[in-house]
Amino acid sequence: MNCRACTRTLSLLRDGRLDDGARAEVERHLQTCESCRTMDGVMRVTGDVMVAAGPADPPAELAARVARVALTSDSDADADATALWRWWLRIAAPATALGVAAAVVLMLLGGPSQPRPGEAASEFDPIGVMSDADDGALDATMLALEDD
Amino acid sequence: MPGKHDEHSLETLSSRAAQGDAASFRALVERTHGIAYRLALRMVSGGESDAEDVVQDTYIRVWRGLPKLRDHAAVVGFICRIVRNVAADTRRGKKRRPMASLDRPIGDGLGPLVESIASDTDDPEQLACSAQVRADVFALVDELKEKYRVVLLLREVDGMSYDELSQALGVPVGTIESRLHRARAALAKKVERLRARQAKETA
Repeated sequence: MNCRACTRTLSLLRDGRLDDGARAEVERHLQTCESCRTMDGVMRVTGDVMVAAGPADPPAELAARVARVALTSDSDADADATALWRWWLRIAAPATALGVAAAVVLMLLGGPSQPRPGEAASEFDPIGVMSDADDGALDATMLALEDD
Repeated sequence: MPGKHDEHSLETLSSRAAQGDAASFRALVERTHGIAYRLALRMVSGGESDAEDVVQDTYIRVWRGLPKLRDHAAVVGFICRIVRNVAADTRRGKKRRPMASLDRPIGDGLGPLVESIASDTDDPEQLACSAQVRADVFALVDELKEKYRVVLLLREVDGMSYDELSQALGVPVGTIESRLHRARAALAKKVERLRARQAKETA
């Protein structure tokens, strides 16, 4: 076994995941190679220091608290949705309906009147786009714009 | 270990919780929050407080997501995936800060560690009692890339098996082996570099 192969298996050796044959081979190499032995020693000692720190146990009441909050979060979400719907019915819906009605009334009352044939464009047609007389000029302008 | 279709197996609890059974959900939380908490703790930088928040958010999402879960036998993987997502969101919200105190240079406490390695007469329990040694080791671990740091801490500190690590991190066991090897080798190199630097300074 060479050093490269040995260092690749040191981690598995530490975790007891080598079969007897592989373990014996690594241990034989470690007996003869100071570099790999040092690497093994560092891995072992740093690992043991971490192990000695001990696992992090969750606080005793965490599970009960987490479950309680999660279970009530559902009804909280429902309550939020209901509140939003009520708000929509009370305020937003009437306001929207009012706005639509106002727009319709304005269109009916204040929209541009159509000029009769032969009449000049109305005041609601300040650039004369509705006028037959200016069709050519308008077309020319549009063509010029298209050329640009 | 309960059987797969045991009355109280995680699969059964998950399946019942998905149908709105609050008692089964509570039992599921009780049985799985340990792995969720440890995974969260190793993935966020804010310590226990942040980890608890991550676990809380996780189980809110679990409760809402269970009805959509198809394979209830994989509920632990489902929970751990949510932990990783919530922890990632939490981390994005704040910059990681070192877990160990860096008021002093790393390596001050490695003297005994280095000596024990050199003399080959280590006494891990005694070493671990030294807060300075422990802080230095954890400071070096904290310098590792996240994917190596997390797997190393879950293995060494929390004592998770390879199968549990695979489930918690959502990667195959072969990847766990590879990451652990790289993590340990990288940590050993850092210790070696410190040892060489200290030897140079004292020479």
